[in-house]
Amino acid sequence: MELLKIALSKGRILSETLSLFNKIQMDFSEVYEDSRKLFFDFKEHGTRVILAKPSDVPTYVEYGVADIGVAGKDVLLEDKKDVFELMDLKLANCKMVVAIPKDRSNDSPIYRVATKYPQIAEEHFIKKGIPVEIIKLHGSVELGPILGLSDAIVDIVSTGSTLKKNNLKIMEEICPISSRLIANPVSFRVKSHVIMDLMEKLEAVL
Amino acid sequence: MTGYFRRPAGVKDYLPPKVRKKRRIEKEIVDVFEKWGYEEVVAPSFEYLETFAKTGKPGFTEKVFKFFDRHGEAMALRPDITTSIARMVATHYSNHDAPLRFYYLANVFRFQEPRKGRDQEFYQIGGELIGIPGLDADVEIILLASYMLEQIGIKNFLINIGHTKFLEGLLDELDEPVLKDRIAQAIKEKNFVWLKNLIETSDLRTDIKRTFLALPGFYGGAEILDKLIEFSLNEKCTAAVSELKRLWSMLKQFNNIQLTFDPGLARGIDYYTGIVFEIYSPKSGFPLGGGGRYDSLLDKFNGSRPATGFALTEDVILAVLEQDMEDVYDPYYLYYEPEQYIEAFHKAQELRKNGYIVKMMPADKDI
Repeated sequence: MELLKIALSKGRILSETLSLFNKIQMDFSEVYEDSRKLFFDFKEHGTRVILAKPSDVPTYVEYGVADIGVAGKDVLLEDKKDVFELMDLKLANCKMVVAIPKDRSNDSPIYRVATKYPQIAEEHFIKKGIPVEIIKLHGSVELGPILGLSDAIVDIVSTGSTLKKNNLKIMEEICPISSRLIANPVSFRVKSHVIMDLMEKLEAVL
Repeated sequence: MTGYFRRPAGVKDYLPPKVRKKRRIEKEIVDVFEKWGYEEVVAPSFEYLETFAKTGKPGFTEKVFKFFDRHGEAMALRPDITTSIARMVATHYSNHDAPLRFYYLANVFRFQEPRKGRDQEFYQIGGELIGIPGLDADVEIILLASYMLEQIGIKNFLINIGHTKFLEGLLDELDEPVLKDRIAQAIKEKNFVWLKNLIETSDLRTDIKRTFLALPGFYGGAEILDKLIEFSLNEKCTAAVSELKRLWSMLKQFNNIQLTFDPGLARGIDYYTGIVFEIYSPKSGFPLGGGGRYDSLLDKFNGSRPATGFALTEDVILAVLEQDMEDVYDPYYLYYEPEQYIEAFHKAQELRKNGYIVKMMPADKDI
């Protein structure tokens, strides 16, 4: 029988994801990031786990080299792929927000926005009818307002401590973010029994 | 010096070994079409933009490559062939009552975000059966597609059948237009998380909520059709399900095809009006093809005619078959000294008459 290929995001959400699968008797404890191995076969429950960079998970699933995957909603919103969004796994819960320096009022105008998520930021400001210039950064976006590169940032926030440390505050919430179970459209049909079975089990422990 | 010349994203070069495989597949498919009484048509590479705009919903023209002719009229590179065939039928066969069967092999163009690595030009092979309103036409199209795939050596494919009227019927029960649009969008994208959210936060009737929440699970073999009847909210849904049942009772007599039913199946292009289907192979993450009934497309060209058809995506099929196909190419190299050219040429012609592929080679060249 062909293995069900599951792409999981490396990084901070990996351990949470693994323990969720553990709850449904899928023991992936061999999977850990430092092992340098990028995929792991578990013949006993018919799966292959593929470790990928979070932003690449939807790409693997879209092309069908992974049948299903666990990806953050932030990645799915930023880089729209042709994948089915099956379930909210309620892992890595956080929010996508617009943040500004603490000492500025919430109605002060925004001209420039620094973000790792240019697509999400642009869509948000277009919806509000505010013309802004988006500056794409790859990390430490909090530096934007500090160094005077931008008036605001769009980023994900979980506890808010990073914002606080950098003298920023939440001006508005764009949307809640959490990990989603996604599927390739063809795999979802061809391997529907296995996938639906897995969804049922996950539903029961959420 | 290495020569590197830019090529636009999403278009491909097909070199001879690949083209040979492509043509072999095409030949087998064309043979099947011809035996089933389908005749080839060639559609223009571009049409007026308004021709394509007639058929799609608003966002569709965004996917079309557009340009202007000398008079400033907006033109479009064909994003599909079916629309051109509908126009052709309205133009050339308006007084024709007998069923029409056409097939085509053609490249089509759709604008894609360049960085996504999707094809902007791709090859489709399709057939259209125009003028038969009944299920017999839908059965013919599904059997034709399936027979063709078998013939070219695709194994274990799955035909997934839906019905646009079932979804339409469900959506008819929603009065609030914004919510209706969003729910339709969520079903189309198979965004179950969003769908659940929309339904749970709405103030819809409990039975409507129950049906929409159950929708993601409506997928499976023919047994799913009995379950669907329970969830039919109105006449339209019930009619769609009973049509699917009748289709099943005909198709189950052909036990070599693997069928599933998926009432939430929504295809990319929006002109379908009844039974729709997609074909999947475990060897590819993309559908091999699909099709369905489009009874109102010909209305748009003032020639009301029932019609159904399908198209296969050649690039996906080629990708599935390619590894196991051997490239058969065995030419005869005929070397000659410049002064013997005429003599060598006659020899080449003689060999060609006997069925050889002959390449004439100056003696100082190497293969």
